[in-house]
Amino acid sequence: MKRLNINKLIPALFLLLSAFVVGFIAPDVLASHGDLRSVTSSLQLLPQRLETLLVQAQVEKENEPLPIIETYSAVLEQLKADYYGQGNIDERRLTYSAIRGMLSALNDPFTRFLDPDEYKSMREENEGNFTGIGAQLDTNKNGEVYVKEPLPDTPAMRAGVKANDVIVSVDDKPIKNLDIEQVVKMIRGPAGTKVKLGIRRTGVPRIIYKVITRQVVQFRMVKYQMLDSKDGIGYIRLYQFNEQCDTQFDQALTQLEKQNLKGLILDLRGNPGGLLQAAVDIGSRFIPSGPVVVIQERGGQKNPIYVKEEKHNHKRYPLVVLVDKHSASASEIVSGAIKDTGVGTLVGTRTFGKGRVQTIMPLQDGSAVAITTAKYLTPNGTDIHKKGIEPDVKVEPPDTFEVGDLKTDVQLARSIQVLKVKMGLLPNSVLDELKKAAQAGSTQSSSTTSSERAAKPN
Amino acid sequence: MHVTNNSPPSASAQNRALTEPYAHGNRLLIDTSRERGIIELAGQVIPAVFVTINGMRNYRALTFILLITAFFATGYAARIATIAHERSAIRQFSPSPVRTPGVPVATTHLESAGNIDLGPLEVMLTVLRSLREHFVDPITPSDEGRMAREALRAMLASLQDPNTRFLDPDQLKLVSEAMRGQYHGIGAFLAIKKIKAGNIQEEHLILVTPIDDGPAAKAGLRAGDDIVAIDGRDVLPLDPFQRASEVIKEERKKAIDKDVLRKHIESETKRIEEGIPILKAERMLTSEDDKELELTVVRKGTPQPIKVKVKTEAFFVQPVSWKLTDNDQLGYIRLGCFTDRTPDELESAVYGLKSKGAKGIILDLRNTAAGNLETVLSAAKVFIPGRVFAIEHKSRNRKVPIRVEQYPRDRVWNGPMVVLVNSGTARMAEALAVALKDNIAAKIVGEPSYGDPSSVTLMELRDGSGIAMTTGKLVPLRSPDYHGKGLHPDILVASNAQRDEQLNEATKLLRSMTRSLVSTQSGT
Repeated sequence: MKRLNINKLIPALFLLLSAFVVGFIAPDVLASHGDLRSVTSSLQLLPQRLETLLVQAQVEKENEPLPIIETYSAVLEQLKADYYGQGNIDERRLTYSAIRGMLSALNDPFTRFLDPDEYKSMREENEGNFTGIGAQLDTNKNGEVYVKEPLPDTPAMRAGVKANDVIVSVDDKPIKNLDIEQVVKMIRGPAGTKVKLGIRRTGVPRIIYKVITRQVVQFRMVKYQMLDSKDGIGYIRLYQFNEQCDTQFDQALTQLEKQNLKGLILDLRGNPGGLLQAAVDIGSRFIPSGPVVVIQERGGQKNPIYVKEEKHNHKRYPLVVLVDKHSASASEIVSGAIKDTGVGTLVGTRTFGKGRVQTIMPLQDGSAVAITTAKYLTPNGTDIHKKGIEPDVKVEPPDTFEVGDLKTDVQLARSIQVLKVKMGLLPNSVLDELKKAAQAGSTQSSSTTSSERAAKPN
Repeated sequence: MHVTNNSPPSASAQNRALTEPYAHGNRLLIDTSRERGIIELAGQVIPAVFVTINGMRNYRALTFILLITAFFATGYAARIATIAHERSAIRQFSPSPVRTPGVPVATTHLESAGNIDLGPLEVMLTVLRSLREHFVDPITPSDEGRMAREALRAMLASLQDPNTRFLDPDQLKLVSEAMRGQYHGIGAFLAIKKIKAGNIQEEHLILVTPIDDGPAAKAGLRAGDDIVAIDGRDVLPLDPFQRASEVIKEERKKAIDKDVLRKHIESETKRIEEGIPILKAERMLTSEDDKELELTVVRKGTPQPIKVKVKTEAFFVQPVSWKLTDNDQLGYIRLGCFTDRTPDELESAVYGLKSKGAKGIILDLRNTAAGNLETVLSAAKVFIPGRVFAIEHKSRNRKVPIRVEQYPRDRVWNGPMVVLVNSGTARMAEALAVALKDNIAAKIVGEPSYGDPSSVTLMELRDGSGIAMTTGKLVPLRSPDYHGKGLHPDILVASNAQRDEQLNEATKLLRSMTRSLVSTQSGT
């Protein structure tokens, strides 16, 4: 048998490779008419050209769809060189549009691009704090921006800003005709800086000026209330799932326990979701054991996320969860787990139906892209995507109502009844009647409109 | 090759010998004196080869040389293939052959290659890589093709230039069919125009030009009609929520009654849900055939929207027709559209008129639109051969004079001319009118034209889709720039539904022009 001599093989291979390279650059050398520069540039381009060759062979197999990056950069170059129309060629804007277009082709509204501004405000939401003065603003009937509520323990509260104060100027600039978003932008700023607000207050003849130092303010994610101190019916509303919400929820529960809590209503209406981790934390508080949610990875592999035992630091109470068509994502993880495990009763309307997990990937220039990377299933394996979760007791909301107002908030009133049945304070027949009424009413209930679906961000 | 044993030197024997020389003991002896010659030859080319193979068995050296040659050939072939690929890539993004003569696209590529900002490209690449690696459903090649198209569509749309856009393969096909004189849909050139009303600026679907004998023209649709609804469904702008949110904001300012606001929101939602996106509407009207549609159009000077029934169909257009008035020997040429046949037909029309002794020509360019530059430059040769048609202003401050094709002098029309225009005279037709005015003092009669002298380049991509892009603006040689304003006629005559006043006025003018010509001729 022949033996390969490594000492000879290496130079031999080297020579073969050189022969290939020489062959590859030969056409350029022949065409260069002795110009050395073209030979060197030909050598430099060798790797790219070989790559093109490989890509080309692949592309031809795939029936030639357009290669994204090549087409995009070629068209961009073409625009930069020859475009002669209205509007400037702003590469960044063009690229952002191209990325948005590219993502739209995937037909998944949750896979989306976030420009630097959008990404920043999303981070603020998820972290649960921002730098500002901590006043919740709204627009009144006359189109003026007013303080709906100064949040407790914030610069606004300490400076003496009161509910219903109308803001007329920010840093001495009148804000008439400005959108509320623009006003919010003006009031916010880096921590430690000052902002001067001009305020009109009913009963005070002149404009009040307040100079307020901006600070890091936590979003209040949780609102709680003892609805019925006799029967111990507590109410916790969760606005969003972020890094702060579990701590705030824990505190709220502790406060309610001090007021003799016996049964709990968790309000997830209008909660668009948020962080997966926060959903697992909150879910763990109610689910005794097993998975809170099952993540189905790309490729089909199922990874259950189990209950966190350390979240079982409170007693368990009879539970009613309020949901509506805006309860989405993380809200559906929590309500789906509660429904599947039977630890609580869902009241309200069918939930939004978003069973996909997004991963936010930051990009080089401060923008980011949210990509749907996995599906999730409720503990018993249901995919609720585009289907939503049906409540146990269906209650349609009236056209106009004030959340938390027992006179107009029919869903809340019903959920108190349901809770009382669960606590043994009302007979079971009440629940049966409610269910019957819901069935009769469900025929005329309307489904969510497409515009509402499209508007839901998370 | 010379082999000392008795077996014939067949290819298969040689093959076996090359692969397993010792295995069966049939050792081959090679006539070294002959082979050495080859080796020495190779050694002269690459001395290193010689050094290496000296230590080898001779037949191995031969194998090796064959391999070297094979690798060299493979490398050569590979490079030839990449050259072909690079050429086709350049062709892909170069203008279709009908474009402006002159500046080839490849050079402009190189000119701008120095200042490429890699930032945005990297961002795009990262997004794509992340999608490929992480998106919940694995991305297929056809997904990627669609993504590329949507990326281009969104990128070009963000420029908000109605002439710069992505074209799907079927839309690109319409362009080439129109070049052959075949039209589809309602038979009209449409444009998407931004119109500001109050606080909002929305895209409208404007009928620029009804094509001769097309369904739109037969149904009485006119140039400038704003198509607001199809079959009772509103044509929606690119961002339909802009209006809705504006309405809601306005209502909220004065809102006293929540019910009124809710009704507004409901009606807006309904309008948007039932409406047709403007790009889809454009497509319905230009590509779909054999459908009866009811269009609601808003026409200037008519207070109420007009409803018009029109049937979409595929039809061919006669690009040129002509006649000679009996009494005063005046020629009339109707140029309905610019197709491949237009230059030839215009040539024979002028030849016909000349041979019948026409004294003057009225060129009717009312409701004549589109066309590409090459066709017009060829068509114009019977009137202004070799002259400057217009100055094309291009990016990076380039100004390129564009010349009309040459044509034998004796066949050129050199009599007086009057050109008829109206608001449906668009693009190349306007450019032709003003070129005739600037070069041979043709008179322009009618209404101001559409006013879009953009020159648009079409590029075909390898998957059959395409890109239209504004690459320049045609500026008249002497007349003022008419961009956005429309070409102003020498004699302004409004259109009249009963009688063709514009044609009457043009005839009168031409008659006086021929007389003055006769008088100056007789005077000399």
